[in-house]
Amino acid sequence: MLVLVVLILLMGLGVGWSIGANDAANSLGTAVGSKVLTLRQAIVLIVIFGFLGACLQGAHVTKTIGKGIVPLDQLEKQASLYVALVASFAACAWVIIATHWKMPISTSHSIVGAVAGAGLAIGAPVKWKVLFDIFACWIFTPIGAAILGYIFFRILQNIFYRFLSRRFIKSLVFFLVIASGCYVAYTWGANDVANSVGIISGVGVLSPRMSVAFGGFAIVFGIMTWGHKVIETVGSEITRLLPIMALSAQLASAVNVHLYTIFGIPVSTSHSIVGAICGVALVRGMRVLNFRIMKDMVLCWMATPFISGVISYLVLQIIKMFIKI
Amino acid sequence: MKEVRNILGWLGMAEEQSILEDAKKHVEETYKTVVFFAEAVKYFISGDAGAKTASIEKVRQSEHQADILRSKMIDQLSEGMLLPPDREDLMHFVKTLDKIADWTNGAARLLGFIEEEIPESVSKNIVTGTELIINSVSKLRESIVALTRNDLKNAIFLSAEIDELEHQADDQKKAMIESIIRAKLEPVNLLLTYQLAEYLEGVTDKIEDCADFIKVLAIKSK
Repeated sequence: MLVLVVLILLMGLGVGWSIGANDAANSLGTAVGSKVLTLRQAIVLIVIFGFLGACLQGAHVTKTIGKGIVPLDQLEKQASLYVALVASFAACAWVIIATHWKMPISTSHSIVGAVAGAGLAIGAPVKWKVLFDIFACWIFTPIGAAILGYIFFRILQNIFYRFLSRRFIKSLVFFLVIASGCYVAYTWGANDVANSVGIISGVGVLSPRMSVAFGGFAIVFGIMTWGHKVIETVGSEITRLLPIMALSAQLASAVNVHLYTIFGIPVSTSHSIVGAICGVALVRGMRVLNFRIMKDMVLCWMATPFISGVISYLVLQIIKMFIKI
Repeated sequence: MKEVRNILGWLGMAEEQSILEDAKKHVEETYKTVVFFAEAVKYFISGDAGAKTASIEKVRQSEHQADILRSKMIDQLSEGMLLPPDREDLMHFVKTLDKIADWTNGAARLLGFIEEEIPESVSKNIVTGTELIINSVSKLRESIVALTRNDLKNAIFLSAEIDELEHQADDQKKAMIESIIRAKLEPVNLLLTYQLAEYLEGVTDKIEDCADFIKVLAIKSK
């Protein structure tokens, strides 16, 4: 039993590390790229706000992943531990495979699919309605962010260029880019921490409060060890959004993710930021979007929950052949 | 892991891949330009003026197609939602790629002006220079394909072979100029063949420049 608990914690740590390493750049990467912040300042802000988000509001989504899809707390202790371990393993495995194949997948999608797959394999009552609601929200995440991005950019463009004196625009936009980036980091921590510790909390290995703190530390560990490299690359070499565009996209993405977080829905913060950037970019017309690339991205998004679900289902079936659960 | 698992990083890398795919099409068009030029050289030596003119026209059209592809790639580099990580190298790469077709077209134009028969010693050197261009552009084509397939080692190896061919082209230019001097040509033909020697070597130079950018992109992708 202790071995299972340790393995579950290690898997949670791994998922948290991966989130911190990969997705930290989504919040303040643009601010680093546009020289509003130095890399060090950005990392400090992401760590603070990501951790705050995880600790203050991470419990909503954690509850959904831990108990909302498969009621892990109502299963037998040993069965629930195996479900937790296999689901974490499947999500982790798919994230590693996708990383190797350079596919842009979502950890949220991966963990939700894996929990459902493990639940099915063990014969637990999977809550299909909740799953359906989550799937619907996944479709609306980028769309909603794009609509918000488009609206925010239109409004901010008018406010900044029509009503404000040019002298103040630069400093105000810089301040707002940082503030909205911190908001993105906060909502990212609040929504994504559940991917690493939702299951841990669900099976009762750690209390909800302890588990979000544990997840927050795992994410911070990811940012410190690898995330800074990604922030630097993404910030300095890829994003070329004007500060006002970055502000609109960040604000749209953060508001979007925050709404889902309040309702306890695990969504992809990456999908949200991409949707928001698309919405902002659409102001310049459809030609800025490369639909071939978009198609690849959407395919990865759609395939992830099914693949992690199948991995999880198969692994648990194999375990059941050797161990009576 | 690099930045590819980050969604913004992935988007940039995907845009880069998309441009490299277009570069593959561009080098195909450039290859056609060189092949049509080789055809023009063949007809020039056999004295078939009509066929030579037709081939030179094909070179011109092919170069125009290459221009269209270059504009598309530059648009993509400047208008995309997010830019590829190595956008500056890609921009230079695209421009250099286009110069190969430009210089080949220039060489074809000069060939069109040469109306009189020239001594065999000079024409032999023109054929050898053209063969070197065809070999170099074939290697370049393979190298770009290797780069798009992420076969970086092969891409770098092929680029090194292009360097070697460029050295041979340098020597070939010297040999051609020697043959032009010894042939004691009429002033107009002397000027045109000398310029042609410069252009033939210039094309392999441009191919080498392009190969250098492939090396840069391959090393950065590691």
